[in-house]
Amino acid sequence: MGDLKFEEFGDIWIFLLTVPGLLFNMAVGLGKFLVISLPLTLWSFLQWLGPTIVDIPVILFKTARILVNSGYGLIKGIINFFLTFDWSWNALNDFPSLPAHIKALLNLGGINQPFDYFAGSYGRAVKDFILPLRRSMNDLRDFIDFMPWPIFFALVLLLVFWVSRKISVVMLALAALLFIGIFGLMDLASQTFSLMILSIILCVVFGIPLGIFMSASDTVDRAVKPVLDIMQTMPSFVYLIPVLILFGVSPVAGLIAVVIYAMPPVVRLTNLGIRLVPFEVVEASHAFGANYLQRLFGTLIPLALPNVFAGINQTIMMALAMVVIAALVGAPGLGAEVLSAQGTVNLALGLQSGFAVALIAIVIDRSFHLYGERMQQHRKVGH
Amino acid sequence: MSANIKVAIKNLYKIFGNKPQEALQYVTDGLGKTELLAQHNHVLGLNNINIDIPEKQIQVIMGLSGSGKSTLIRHLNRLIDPTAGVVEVDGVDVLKMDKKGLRDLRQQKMSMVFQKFALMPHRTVADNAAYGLRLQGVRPGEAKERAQKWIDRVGLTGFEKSYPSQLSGGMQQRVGLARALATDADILLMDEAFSALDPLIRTDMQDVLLELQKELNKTIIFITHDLDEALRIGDDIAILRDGGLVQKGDPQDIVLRPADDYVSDFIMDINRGRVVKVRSIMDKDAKGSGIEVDLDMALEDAMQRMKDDPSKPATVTQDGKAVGALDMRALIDAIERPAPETASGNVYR
Repeated sequence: MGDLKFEEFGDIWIFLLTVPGLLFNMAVGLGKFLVISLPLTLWSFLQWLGPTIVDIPVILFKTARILVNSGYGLIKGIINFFLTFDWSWNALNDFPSLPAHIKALLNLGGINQPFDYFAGSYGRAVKDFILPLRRSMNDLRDFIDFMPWPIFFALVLLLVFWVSRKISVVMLALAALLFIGIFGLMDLASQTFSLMILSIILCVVFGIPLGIFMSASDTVDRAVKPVLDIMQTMPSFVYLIPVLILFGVSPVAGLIAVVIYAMPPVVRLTNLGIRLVPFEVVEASHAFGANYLQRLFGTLIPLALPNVFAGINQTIMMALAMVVIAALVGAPGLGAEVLSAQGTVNLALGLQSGFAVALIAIVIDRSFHLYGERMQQHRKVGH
Repeated sequence: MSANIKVAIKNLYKIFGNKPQEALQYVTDGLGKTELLAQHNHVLGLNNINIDIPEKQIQVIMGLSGSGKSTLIRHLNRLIDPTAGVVEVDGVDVLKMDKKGLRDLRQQKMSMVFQKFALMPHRTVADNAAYGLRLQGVRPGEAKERAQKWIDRVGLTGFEKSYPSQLSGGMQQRVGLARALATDADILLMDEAFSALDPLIRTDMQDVLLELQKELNKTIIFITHDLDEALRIGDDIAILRDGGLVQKGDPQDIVLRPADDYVSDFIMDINRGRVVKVRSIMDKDAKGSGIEVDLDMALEDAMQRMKDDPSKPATVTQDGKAVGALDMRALIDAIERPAPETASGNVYR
């Protein structure tokens, strides 16, 4: 779309001659993304994970040392506080916070140390890690960009129809596409799409196994749940800081931020879905001698699927909600446009991009909702 | 009984709670279920159960809810691990099996039918029936073929492509039965299999089971809380109460010689004429002069025959030979419901 300007060709026939090449480009882009970039991303993540895990004791030791120092400082501070406190009614006006020199003893800044150590030691590894991710994003964006718009429209509408099986949702999708196209946001939208697709793939690839792991062990469940809570409730700007340090201002930083924020629902609902599988059915699979994998793939996952899909749907919604914040650390697309609209106090521009995001979210939500409903229907027919 | 012992349960204890081994000590010292719960906050599930189950018979295990019967049946294929005791299947201790051995046992030797059917809601009837076979590693095509045979046997031909939720309760349990039978296991565990069904359909399913059993001769362990059902299908009945075994014997034993007040209370309202056989009450030394009745005839049927000429004792025959006599008076005595005060001066009513 962005690369094609009809008036340059002057003739529709010349345009049609380019179609095979465009289709080829599309196919190559998608192929590169699926066959090379995506596996490479996962592989380099594993490579990056290895040495990181090995070095965990070092990081833990440094953290522990800092905590001990802080504890010492805290006790000293409290003692000092009681020794030096001015006991009078005025003391009730303000809650007694620690004086600055005692706060310094607490060494709160010490948390930076282990993180700096990590960033310093693994800068290269992190770069290796993000390279294929960035490649994936570019390939995906090229794939969408190279596509002639009629084909892109047709693909999207077909996909929506296949998922929702409802003409009204397809019409809604068409309206969204027309809106985006007419206001000239297609380029930005395609960048947002590539960001969304990649982050959702990452969320699903890591989230569903984690959810399964949580469902299999109560200990893991208890350990991971607070982490998920923190991932969701911690103001996203806070974890944008380490993401920025590690990845710099780049689309990948935005991607990571989106993945962190959007992953919890799919993990939670996979876990919940598996735990909600009726006990009798699980017992029956035990009684007929199924091993864990047979039970997992034959009984637990199929019966948890409606919940898992609800989780993926929520993940998509949260990812879309993150696009503006992710734009702060360099994610391109509609979010960046909203951000620049805010910077220039341009309400019209902000509304255009904002509505585009909202429309995409509504279409995806409706489609997935109908898909989930259809999936349960074929099982829950009354007699 | 001379038949081989298929399943032997020896000194089986199950205690639910945080420290079952500690609580076991109190139980072996003679503490009862209520005291254990009150004093140590542990629930006594099974208390020193000893049952030998002969092969090719229907062994009914009966008791009210909370008596431990469902807990007991789950020890046989170790869905629940006991606190102490031995469970032997074909002479092999189930409790010493490793995971692999246990899976083999569950796949090959024992299959189970559940009270709430426990079918896989996302699989069709055909796939549900073939479930056990697929776990055994049978190829899909062959599994489907073999499962189809059992779907036909339980009368579900034509419903292969339906999902369980599209079937009635009775039909769902037929699928459960087909699934259990398809594995060709010798032992069939039935956990209140028919309790969730309407009375008419329940009778239907009992007929289906008895008919299949005539042909298959499996060892069936059948859990129920319904005495009529127990008497109807059981070759042998064990009665549990509060986790302990109260009485074990064939149906006539239970009806004619209840071990204690609890059992006699249980059998108060049942139709004795249908359960008790001529064999149990005939006079072996006397000679009949009236009509002929068979040794294994139910009293109800014998009465039907004798009512035309009640004054003469009937001749009891076995394979056409006279072996004793049955007096109308004795027959009426046996059928008559015992007066409440003679049945028990009991505390349960």
